[in-house]
Amino acid sequence: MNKSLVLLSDRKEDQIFANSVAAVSDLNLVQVQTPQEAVKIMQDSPPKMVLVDGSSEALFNTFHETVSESLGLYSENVQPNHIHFLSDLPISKAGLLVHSPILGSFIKRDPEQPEESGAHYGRIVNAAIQGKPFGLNEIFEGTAKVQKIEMRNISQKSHILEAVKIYLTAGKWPTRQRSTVLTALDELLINAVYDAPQAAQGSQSQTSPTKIDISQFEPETNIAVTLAFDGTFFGVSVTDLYGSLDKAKLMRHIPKNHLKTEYKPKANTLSAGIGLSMVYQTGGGLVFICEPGVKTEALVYYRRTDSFKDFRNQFRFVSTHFYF
Amino acid sequence: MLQVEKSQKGSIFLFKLSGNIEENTKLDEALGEPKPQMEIHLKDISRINSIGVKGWIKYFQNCQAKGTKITFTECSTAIVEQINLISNFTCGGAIESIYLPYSCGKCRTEQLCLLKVEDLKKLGMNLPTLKCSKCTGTAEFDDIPEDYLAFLSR
Repeated sequence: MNKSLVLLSDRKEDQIFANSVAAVSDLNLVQVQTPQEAVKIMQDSPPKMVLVDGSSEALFNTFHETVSESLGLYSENVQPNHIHFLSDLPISKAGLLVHSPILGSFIKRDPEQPEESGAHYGRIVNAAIQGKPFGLNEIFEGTAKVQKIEMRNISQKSHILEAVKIYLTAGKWPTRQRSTVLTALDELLINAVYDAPQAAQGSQSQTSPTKIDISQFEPETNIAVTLAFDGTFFGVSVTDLYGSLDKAKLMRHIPKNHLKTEYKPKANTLSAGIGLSMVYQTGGGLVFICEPGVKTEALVYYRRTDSFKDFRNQFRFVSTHFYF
Repeated sequence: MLQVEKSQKGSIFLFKLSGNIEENTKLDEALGEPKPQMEIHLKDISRINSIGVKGWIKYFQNCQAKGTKITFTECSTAIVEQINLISNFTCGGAIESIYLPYSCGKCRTEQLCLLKVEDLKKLGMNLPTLKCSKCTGTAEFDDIPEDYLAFLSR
């Protein structure tokens, strides 16, 4: 695999972003003008990263078709972990792109601060190209103190949230930013506790969460919560030992928007089905790393800002990494 | 953990909620059977997670189906966020007043400002500034008005 970052975009801010990612992750930036050129490189020697302007439907369609025709969507030269799309559109309006099997990561373009966003995103790319990027210390390498908490049953969730609240309060996080981080962590824990085992069993007929018997969760349902803060960025990850994350399902959930269609709670499922979309819509980055049958790590990543307005407007993305 | 203070003013049943709404919250037990008129006071709701939202919608949809007249007052920022994310979050209930988040440009002190929805509609997106409660600075609305007040235009 060649150590290049192939950029398919003619936008100035994408070049700045890509330059910054390449600098942090020690990749050689190669800018191409056409999907055919990008696919040719993927065919000859798959690059570590392919970054495509996905805001143009025409460009996305041509790239997708070229990949499909020249390589095949499921060819070993097409590794979604390495394919990242930049878009101006919110994820809920990104349509085909989000549901494409070749999508690895969706990046909401940050035209105001492409260099800073590139440096931030580059840390994730850097961790991913070194190997499986499990563990926040891979992403916060040498820049932050990383703390780990073990959760052995659901009754410990409120204690963990309280501990993180104290941690953030000590770090002088403003109230609403703190609350957003806590809700995001709460959602990741819900997914790990309720959804991951259900997905692993393939069961669709669970009882309501109010009727859950905590003892049904196996003692080995160990969940690890890891926190890291480098003074600017705060990351929190939740790792379960099921490895049952389904990318297609994930990418159906995150873009959900209940402003146009009413939310209808399902009676026969444990979870609400809206947690991850709530997390994504409140800002920040989401990273999912999964080794099927072994473990899943879900990570949220926020920049602390002076105002909540800036917090809400911060750079956001969904990055997925699957290791079969 | 959700706490509820109950009282009654004439024919209106008042419920003052505080804490978090999550998977262990049982609104049907905490608020009881739907009454003809309910006023839900939400100033002290700090967070609501997705399973909390699910339980909320189920409970208030049941109230709606039984013809309850519901009014939500003093909605916290956490509640306003949900109102803006989910079109049917209020289940036909009326929003009487909400808290708006403010932050001082000088000392970054956070403040909340309670406004009635009818007054907000008159103000449009021209939200007032406040005097900081801790210094001589000015506190400004700390969110994106078009996002935070999106529910007004629905």
